[in-house]
Amino acid sequence: MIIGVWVLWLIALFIWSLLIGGIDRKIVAHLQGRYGPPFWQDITDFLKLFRKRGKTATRSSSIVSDVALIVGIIAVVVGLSILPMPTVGGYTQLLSTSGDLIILAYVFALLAIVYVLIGFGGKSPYTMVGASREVSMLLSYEIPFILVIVAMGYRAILLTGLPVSTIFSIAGFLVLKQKMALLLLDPIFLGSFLVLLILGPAIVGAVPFDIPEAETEIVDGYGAEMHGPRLGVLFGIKHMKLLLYAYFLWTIFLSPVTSNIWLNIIMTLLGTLLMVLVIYTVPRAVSGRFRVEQGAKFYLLGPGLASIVLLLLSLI
Amino acid sequence: MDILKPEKSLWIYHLNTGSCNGCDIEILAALTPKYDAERFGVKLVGSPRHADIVVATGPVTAVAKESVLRVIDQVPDPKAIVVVGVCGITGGVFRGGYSVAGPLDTLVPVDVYVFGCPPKPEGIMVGILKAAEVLELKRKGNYHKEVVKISEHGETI
Amino acid sequence: MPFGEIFGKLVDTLIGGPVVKPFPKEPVKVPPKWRGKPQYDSEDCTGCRQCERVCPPSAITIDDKKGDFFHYEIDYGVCIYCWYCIDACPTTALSGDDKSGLYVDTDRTKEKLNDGVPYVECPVCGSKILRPARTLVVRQFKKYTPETLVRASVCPKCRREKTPEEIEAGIEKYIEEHAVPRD
Ligand code: SF4
Ligand code: SF4
Ligand code: SF4
Repeated sequence: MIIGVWVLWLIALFIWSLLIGGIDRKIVAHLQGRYGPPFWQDITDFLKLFRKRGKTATRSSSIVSDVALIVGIIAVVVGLSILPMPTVGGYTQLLSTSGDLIILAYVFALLAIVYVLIGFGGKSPYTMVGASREVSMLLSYEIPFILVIVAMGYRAILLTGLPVSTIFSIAGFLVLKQKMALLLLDPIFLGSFLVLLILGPAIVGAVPFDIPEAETEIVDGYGAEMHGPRLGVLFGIKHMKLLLYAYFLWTIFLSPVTSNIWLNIIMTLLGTLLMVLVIYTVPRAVSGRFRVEQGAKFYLLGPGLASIVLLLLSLI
Repeated sequence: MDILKPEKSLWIYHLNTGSCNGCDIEILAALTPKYDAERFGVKLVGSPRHADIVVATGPVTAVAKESVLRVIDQVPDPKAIVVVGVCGITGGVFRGGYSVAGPLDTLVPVDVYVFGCPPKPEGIMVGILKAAEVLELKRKGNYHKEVVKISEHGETI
Repeated sequence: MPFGEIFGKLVDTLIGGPVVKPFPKEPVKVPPKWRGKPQYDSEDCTGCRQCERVCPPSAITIDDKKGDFFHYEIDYGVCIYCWYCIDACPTTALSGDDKSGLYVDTDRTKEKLNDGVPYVECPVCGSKILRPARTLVVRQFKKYTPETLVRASVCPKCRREKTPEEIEAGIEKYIEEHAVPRD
């Protein structure tokens, strides 16, 4: 029963992620003084990609990219099964273990690895450069990301008084949210939230840090050799990664808990849209692309130092 | 329903085969807020393997010929080719030059021609929209060059 | 640019609304002095071939050797809309299209201008000469009618070698024979 509901929720979220992509394009267009595409444009794009037939380059290895895409789909599904879904009386996880926050962190890393695999499977100079840029971005944002997650885990244990074995469990955060009205009132959580917001553009590949897929320099980076239905799947995975991250930020930190299921669903959808606007749309509309060493330096100096401070503070 | 129509999603790939850059700048102008080609679903993509429509400029120089043929071969079907500018149509001011390997339509079938040196950005937009009609006919499998009708804003106004 | 300034610009755009031109709904507006396709009026052409000589990409092809017709062709697939030909034409046979900016077609061979000037008979001696241009006829006789056209079609040889009386008699005879309407 709950599995069926969850599958429906998954499909709804997928359609919502495509709609968010279109809404994002519409908003960027209005910020730039134009009308932009209709807000369902990304659904049209997605469906169109499945009706195209092309030739794969002889040198690129489609097995590697196929495996990578399957891994990507699995990662997305695992991520959504861990994140709490709105149900009657609050939020419930489909799968819940004591270390699911860490699994979630690995889901984001795994999705980056998927891009790297796709890039190396393409075997064209552009996809290789894109993949190596993705690796260097991964190295620079993953350290602050993991440190912040560890800091959050310790803080949650401290505040809830749950046993230490439940450290890094999202269930702990749900308990905490019942106790505290707003998680952001706690300075550690506020700091973690800000660091995660700053990490957002790099994790989802938004414009100041879309270094791995810079289309004007390295013709779309890791995805340059993808076409047709495979590109469609990659298109879907990119949208789902953006949605996953926004959903993660919203449910952990911001979502208010009500007992009405429809209110919960609507607030989750609108909340993810809000998070996407903050971490994706606005940076995309107002800035240009960084160079790879600028991006790495920015993340290691800014959020990197902040995350170390947060970790130390949470341990005291 | 518009939402299901593949012709409402036009990913264009801009291919410079050795032009003077006049037409390239006008193509970029067609994507700027003033003309906003994105409202028709147009998106500029970086890789030919993602593209639906190839927007080609320039007379195809001898050096570029092999690469041009390879790039056009990489575009998945159905595809449409729009030539922008008279030097891509016949050679224009470069006609008969020592390094010109012929206008593009002697090498590959070209679907839409946009005249001008350079054409107005509106002309390029009309050319892309007409290429969308060509794509629709190609999907249905009854594409013949003669039957392409001139749409209401595709007429020589 | 500092972020404050960027957000100020964003707010301006949001209040001011889109700046997109109303193009597909309304026909395209071209700026003044816009240069579009050159148009050709064969009645005004005197066949001096100045336009062919000045055209930078040789878009104009003139063939006067083929039969009894002065073939005139502008290939708009070559023309760069520079209007040099219009400046060069002494009898204003060429004019420019300054209203329209869109030339798009799926068949490039249609975008060609094919026209020409017929040869007419000299009313006095019967040899073939190119039909006189309307501008030149009007300059000589102040009006352009069938009769003035016949009067202007006297060939250079006859003008040089025959007396005015002979020419006048020849023209009168020609008008009688061919029933050219008189003014
Ligand atoms: S058509 Fe004219 S403006 Fe365009 S690329 Fe060729 S020479 Fe340049
Ligand atoms: S406008 Fe310029 S290019 Fe066109 S026919 Fe006249 S002279 Fe030639
Ligand atoms: S169009 Fe004008 S310039 Fe050209 S041949 Fe005729 S009269 Fe001479």
